[in-house]
Amino acid sequence: MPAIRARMKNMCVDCAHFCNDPEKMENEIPGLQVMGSGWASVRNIDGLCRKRDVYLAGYYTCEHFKPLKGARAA
Amino acid sequence: MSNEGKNTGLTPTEEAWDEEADDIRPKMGWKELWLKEDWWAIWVGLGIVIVATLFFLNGGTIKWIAIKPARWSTLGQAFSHFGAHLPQYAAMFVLWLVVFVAAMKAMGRNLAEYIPSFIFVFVFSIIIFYIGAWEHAHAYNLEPPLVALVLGMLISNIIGLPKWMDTGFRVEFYIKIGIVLLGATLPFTLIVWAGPVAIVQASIVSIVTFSVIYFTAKKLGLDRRLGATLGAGGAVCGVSGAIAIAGAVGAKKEHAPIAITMVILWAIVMIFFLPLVSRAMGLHAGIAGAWVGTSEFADAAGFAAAQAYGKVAEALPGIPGSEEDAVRAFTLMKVIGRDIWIGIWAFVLALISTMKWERKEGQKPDPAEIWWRFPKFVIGFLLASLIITWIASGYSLADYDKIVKPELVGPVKTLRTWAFIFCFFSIGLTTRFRELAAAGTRPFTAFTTGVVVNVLLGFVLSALVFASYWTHLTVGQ
Repeated sequence: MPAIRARMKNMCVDCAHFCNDPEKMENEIPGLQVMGSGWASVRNIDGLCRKRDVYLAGYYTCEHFKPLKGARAA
Repeated sequence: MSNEGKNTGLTPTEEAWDEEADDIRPKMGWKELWLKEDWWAIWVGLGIVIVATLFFLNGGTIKWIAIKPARWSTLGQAFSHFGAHLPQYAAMFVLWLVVFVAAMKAMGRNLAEYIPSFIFVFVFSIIIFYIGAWEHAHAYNLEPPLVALVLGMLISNIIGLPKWMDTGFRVEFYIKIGIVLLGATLPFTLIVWAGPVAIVQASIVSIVTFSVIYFTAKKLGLDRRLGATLGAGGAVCGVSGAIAIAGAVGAKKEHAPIAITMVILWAIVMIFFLPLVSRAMGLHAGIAGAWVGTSEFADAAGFAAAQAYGKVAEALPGIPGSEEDAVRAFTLMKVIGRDIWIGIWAFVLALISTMKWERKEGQKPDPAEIWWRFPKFVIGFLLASLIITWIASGYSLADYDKIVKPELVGPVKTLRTWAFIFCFFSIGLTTRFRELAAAGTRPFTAFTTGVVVNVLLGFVLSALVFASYWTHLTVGQ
């Protein structure tokens, strides 16, 4: 997603509150595996935000952004 | 099990929820070529088609390994056939296992869980396929898709299986491989001829259904993000539609599970309802397939319904059409008419969400999202169709039936049927009703209103307005 990344900083996909691991998503979202999949293209890089309890696209940003430790060190 | 320590291209689970994790996440982008199921469905499905084509062009065939049960009337015949062809079943099992294991390993799955789980699926799939080959199976509605589904649900809801076995019950992966293989049995000329009709019909139904569900939800006081998630689940492509739109609009954590519950419950009802009503009305298999394609909510569930009805049509003299008619009409309607538009739905709704519902400066979806969310397996489906259409173009109709069909298309179709049975059985095995999220009365009312409109409108368009297309799919090639 170079186009999005070039335009935005502090996206959810780079936030410590965010998770989009496909296996975790299938465990957290009941029924996702039945007729869908955590590994499907339609999910793109969407994931769950623990801070706000929302499921959202990885390119979103918000005031609660918290960089990962590795990113902070860099 | 988690993917911890594996480069999945997505946020590793443990690190994501450990805010002090010492990591910068790997980016996805084109890594999805080996990290997403859609692409693996292409590699596996198209790989099979290409190998089958190369064998055929060199005077050979893959039909030895594409084994299936012969029709039988006594158990002795069934066992005898199985015993005589045991090496072929073993070889086919190894083929599936090798390609599936390669895909699962690349996607970071636990092979110690996947392999025994797939063995379980494969063994039961043999039994299910043999049941379907019984000469009286149709009289008792023992079509393999329905048997697989019911047997799977009985096992998962009454007996129960260890949770780790879910690793092998990859509904979407198997159905996507089946759809790519199906492309090899669908002439590209047919896609060009009937595709636009499918797009028109599906677009009418999708827009009307989405609007009905969304505005009913709004009227009932539900969050508009839930309304949109429910609407996409009912109108576009079931669970995939619901989860894509939930992400695009930034839905609350509980919204997607509610929509998924609605989709699963109604999809299972429709697997039985649509073929039953079609049978009662004696609908042509092509019309029923188009209706299922318009009014079912998930690819896997729709294929089960279309294939089951197609087999009924072949077995009962009063019902015109064939299994291929039903499956072809369904595929055109669902895959070409509905699935491929999910990226556009997601982009438009994300625009509405960020610019109208929750206006925020500098937060705007990129049109590239349309591509990243595109269900890529459709590319494999189209390429498979192009390859076989190109091969077939060098033969007369008589030679196609005598040479290409039995030596090339037939074996691919058999492997397709196996992929579908793995899928249908996996639906049953993963549908554990007690684990689904509670939906509540208002979401149920909104979604069900859309279901009623969808089913009626889908019938009118399939059986009345565009009936001539769906009854002449083989003529239009």
